[in-house]
Amino acid sequence: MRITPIIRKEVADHLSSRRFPLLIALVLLSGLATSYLGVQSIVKGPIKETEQTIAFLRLLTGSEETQIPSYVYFIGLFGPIVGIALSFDSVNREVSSGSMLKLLSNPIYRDSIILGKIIAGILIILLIVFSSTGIVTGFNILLAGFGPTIEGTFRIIYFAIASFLYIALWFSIGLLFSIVFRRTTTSALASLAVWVFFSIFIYLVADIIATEVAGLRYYFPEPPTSAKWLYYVTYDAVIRFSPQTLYSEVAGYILSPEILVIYFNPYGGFYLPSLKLRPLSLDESLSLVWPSFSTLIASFVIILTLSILIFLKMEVRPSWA
Amino acid sequence: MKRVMIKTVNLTKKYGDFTAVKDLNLEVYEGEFFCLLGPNGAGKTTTFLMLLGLTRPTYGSAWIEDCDIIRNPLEARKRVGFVPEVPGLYDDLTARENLTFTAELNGVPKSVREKKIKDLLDKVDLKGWADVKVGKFSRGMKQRLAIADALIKEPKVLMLDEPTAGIDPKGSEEILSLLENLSRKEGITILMSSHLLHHVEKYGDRIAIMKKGEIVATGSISSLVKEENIVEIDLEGVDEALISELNRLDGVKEVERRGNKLIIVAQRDIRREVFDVASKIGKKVISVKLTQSLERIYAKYFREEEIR
Repeated sequence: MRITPIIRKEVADHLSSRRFPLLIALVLLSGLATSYLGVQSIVKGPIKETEQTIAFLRLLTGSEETQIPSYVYFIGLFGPIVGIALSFDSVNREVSSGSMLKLLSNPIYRDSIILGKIIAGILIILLIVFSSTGIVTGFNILLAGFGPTIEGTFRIIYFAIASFLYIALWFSIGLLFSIVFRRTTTSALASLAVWVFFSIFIYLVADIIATEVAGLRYYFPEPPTSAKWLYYVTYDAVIRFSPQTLYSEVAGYILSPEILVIYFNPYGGFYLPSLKLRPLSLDESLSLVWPSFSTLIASFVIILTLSILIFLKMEVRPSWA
Repeated sequence: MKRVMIKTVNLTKKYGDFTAVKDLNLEVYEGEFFCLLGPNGAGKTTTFLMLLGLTRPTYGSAWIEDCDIIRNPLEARKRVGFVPEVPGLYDDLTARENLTFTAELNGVPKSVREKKIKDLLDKVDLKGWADVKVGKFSRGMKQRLAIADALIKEPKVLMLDEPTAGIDPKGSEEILSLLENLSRKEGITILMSSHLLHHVEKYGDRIAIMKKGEIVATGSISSLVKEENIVEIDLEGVDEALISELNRLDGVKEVERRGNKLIIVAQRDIRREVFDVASKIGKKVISVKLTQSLERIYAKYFREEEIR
């Protein structure tokens, strides 16, 4: 398979496009700005060495007291835009300009073309995520005057991997629409519509579904605990269809070792599994986020596979014929 | 005997109930300049797509040289250079970069790539444009570059889908002369689709006229035009008796009245007999003209407005 020339060309196209500096600036500036504002409210005085990891990671996640949007929040918000911007026109633009037909008339497999585009997109997302996370981390070290511990460094690396997966998932959604729809405007709008749905409307939909499933409307004045439990479980299940929810969970738990897991007991209300208030180890955090992490991976793989299959089957006819 | 470079047997493509190409039987020989003639929607582009292995025929077979396009489309594409109607070049790359990309896709060794690109740019008369972005090229220049792009793999067959569409007459002539040279001097088989009759008439060795997915006529231009002799007779008054007499003449296929003119389609040159019949009936003949042109052939198969 002659895939290297395609990857090289696609990477060069991304890097030389006007979109690329805009996207990297969007991610980087939001990271640097939140770091600068965050460090003033989080690092107010000398911090004990044992608390340095938590304080440093909080520069990325923000704290509830500061009310400043965090780097994680901005990745959650802008990540879909970055992913979609890199892929929403990657196939249909080439089809309508005629270059896809010319490309396919060469002795190469169709897989090479779509895989070349995917690999190039992945490389660019890796570049954006790891370079911006690295720069923001370095900036945080400069501002805070201390760096993360080894465990903290690993947590940042896992966070970067999760951010990559999250953006790559949106990249795959944009790619799928660029194959399915002939017009670039349609694929862009469809991708944005999915983003808006999973960012805003999913919570409304989850509420409606959970209310109906739990039958909360039929209890007056107060629903029983079992109905409340059913409501929470259903609501939780529905919002997990949103990549944003999955990403927030993964990024939040990985970067916040002090988070306590609170379980809901249907018969006795909320309870803490352990009253020993200690930060979670990296392994514990990872096992906690693994279901969401693996769902992100699975969604990414499923949508990419679907995109590849549709591309292999699609008939590339010149639009002018 | 010349080698068959393109062969199709009952090649058919259906999209649901719509038949885009129906039972196409074609043989194009080595070094031949073969033209597919037909209006939009005749099935020319679909034929190209099938020959390139980019769309699977509903049934039928096709070969490029000895390579089955259905069983081995990749091998077939090694032998074919394709120039679509819209060249599909990358506007943000230079001419050299575009050719380099295609050379890489075709596995042209790095050692010969640069020389090959230089030679091809010379051949298509774009010598001084190697490092200029293609976005700045005129339509004709883009089309010439697209031909160079298709030639980089040294194909035995060159397929061109309406290569002169939207190009000024001078640019069109340059492209067609280039193609003629490739066919005559380098022995490359050319399969070109067009709806411009004068181009086909001037450069094509043989043509196939396509209508609604079917070939309705095929052969050399000279043999085709001989079958359709159009005698145009201008008279001082036309009546039914004259038309009836003319219809009785041997070889007359059709007599059409247009005011004081009669258009007679015949299998041979019948000017002498037409003049005699008119004189015998007492009609004064102002002029008698014979037309043997592809345009008439084309008009026979398609409505006149389609060729205007």
